[in-house]
Amino acid sequence: MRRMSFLALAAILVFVAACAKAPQPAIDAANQALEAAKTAEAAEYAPEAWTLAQDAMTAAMNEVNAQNEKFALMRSYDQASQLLDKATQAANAAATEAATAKEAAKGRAEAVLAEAQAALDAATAALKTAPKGKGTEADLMAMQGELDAAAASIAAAQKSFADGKYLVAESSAQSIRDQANAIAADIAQAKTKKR
Amino acid sequence: MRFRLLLPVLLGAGVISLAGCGSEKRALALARIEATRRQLAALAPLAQVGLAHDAIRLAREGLLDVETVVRQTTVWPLDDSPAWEPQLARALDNARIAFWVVERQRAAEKEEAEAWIDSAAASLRHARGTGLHNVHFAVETSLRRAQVALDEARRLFEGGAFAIATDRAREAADLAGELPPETKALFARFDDPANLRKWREWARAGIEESRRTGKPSLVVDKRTQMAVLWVKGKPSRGFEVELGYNGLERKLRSGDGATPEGLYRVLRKKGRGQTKYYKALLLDYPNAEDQRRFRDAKANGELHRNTAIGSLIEVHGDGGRGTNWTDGCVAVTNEEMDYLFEKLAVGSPVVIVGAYESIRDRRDGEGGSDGNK
Repeated sequence: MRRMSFLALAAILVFVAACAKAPQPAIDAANQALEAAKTAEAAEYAPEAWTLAQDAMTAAMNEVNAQNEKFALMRSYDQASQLLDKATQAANAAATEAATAKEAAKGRAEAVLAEAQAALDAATAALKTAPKGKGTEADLMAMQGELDAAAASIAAAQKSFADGKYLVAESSAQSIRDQANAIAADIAQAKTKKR
Repeated sequence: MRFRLLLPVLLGAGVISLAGCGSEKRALALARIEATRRQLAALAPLAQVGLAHDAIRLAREGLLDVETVVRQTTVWPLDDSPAWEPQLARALDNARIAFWVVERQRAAEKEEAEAWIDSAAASLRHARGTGLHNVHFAVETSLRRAQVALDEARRLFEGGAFAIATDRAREAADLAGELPPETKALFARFDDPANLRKWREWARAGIEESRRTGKPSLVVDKRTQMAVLWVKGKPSRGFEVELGYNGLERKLRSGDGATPEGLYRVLRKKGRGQTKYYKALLLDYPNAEDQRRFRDAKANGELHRNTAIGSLIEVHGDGGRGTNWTDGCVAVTNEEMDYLFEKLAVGSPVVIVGAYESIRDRRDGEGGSDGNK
């Protein structure tokens, strides 16, 4: 009889200890969501949401570690599971926000690249009809040099776009567009200058 | 009997109620932590470097640490001050400090960006005020790049990227404030006090002659590409002029495209059909000073012995092309040429100077660098 009681108690203890295990599937799911957000470049395109997701994951793992350090019978991973779910949701939100922001950046970059190319084409055409005369060769060569550099910069910006670096592409294209417009404006001013 | 049955129930309800108070305190603490963490996350993109970045990072870590404590600490009934209170207070203080640091850093970055943008804009205005961009392509190129950089700085400023805006504004200020190396030597002589003194003496001589004789004198300033007709010692009319394709250079020889500097007089008047440039006033270049300088240049090897000094320097029409294009002459529009042709006679002074004001003084809005005003 006493042996039966002892065996029953041991079985209960083993059962309780087995139930108090870290929620590994939830941990894995949260890590995967965080990794997906990282792949979506959340740090660049959704920095606030990314920070929140990172903190949520840290808080969840702190709770898991705190429970791990407790005596088996005293552990409870209920809160840890809830925190891991929150972390997963935060990471998913960061990934979604990053995807949206990245798509918007792509649209902007595409538009500015087109503007830059158009400005470069217009400035190149204008340079061909710029006033020529003695002493203007150096001016024209300098402008042609600038336009050649702008053409190389556009190629680099287009590569950035192709590589998905939309913010870099947008910023570069804006500068190129402004520079080409400035050259075209100077040529136009030289053509129309009246005394 | 009934009381004895009720007592355990009442005691149990009391314990549950007190335990609920502990849960409520925990929930409140966690809510405060969550709200503060969200505020810090919102600021993190604005403070990616410097003291603000570190302050935010430390505040976040502090909140995460105290959150763990809050979750793990047992709250006893009637415990008014849970064990996490001091640590939570410190973590929230650190967060407040982080907010303050970010605010101050952003304000300082914004102030610096504003100052540099204003400085770059002022440098660009001054640089354009010198007129040098109209006479030399390298200056125009620099100023154009400066304007592009300044526009980008303003765009970045409007978008809140103050630190990068400062970088671009500084670049703009550098481009606007500094002559390109290849033009420094060319323009150095326009800041030379000895040259400026000589040129001002020439100009005053021409003006004084117009006052003394009552007849017009023309004074041409190469650097600003302006000419003024003086009558009886007073300015009568101004003109924008076009010079030789190397007009700002010092004229040494035939074919160098430079416009000479000196005290000249009208040698001959060429009307319609007598010149290919509408009308022209032939000057007496080379004068004695030009001859002497030419001989010295040949003697010291600066010029080849077979080099010619040049001639046929005129004030003529067909100008208004917007660029320096002549072989060394001074060009004006045909309408202006008609005016000068009527006013100037054979023997009228035509003074051509390098500059009447130094570049530096013109940029700073002060008077002459040799002390004369």
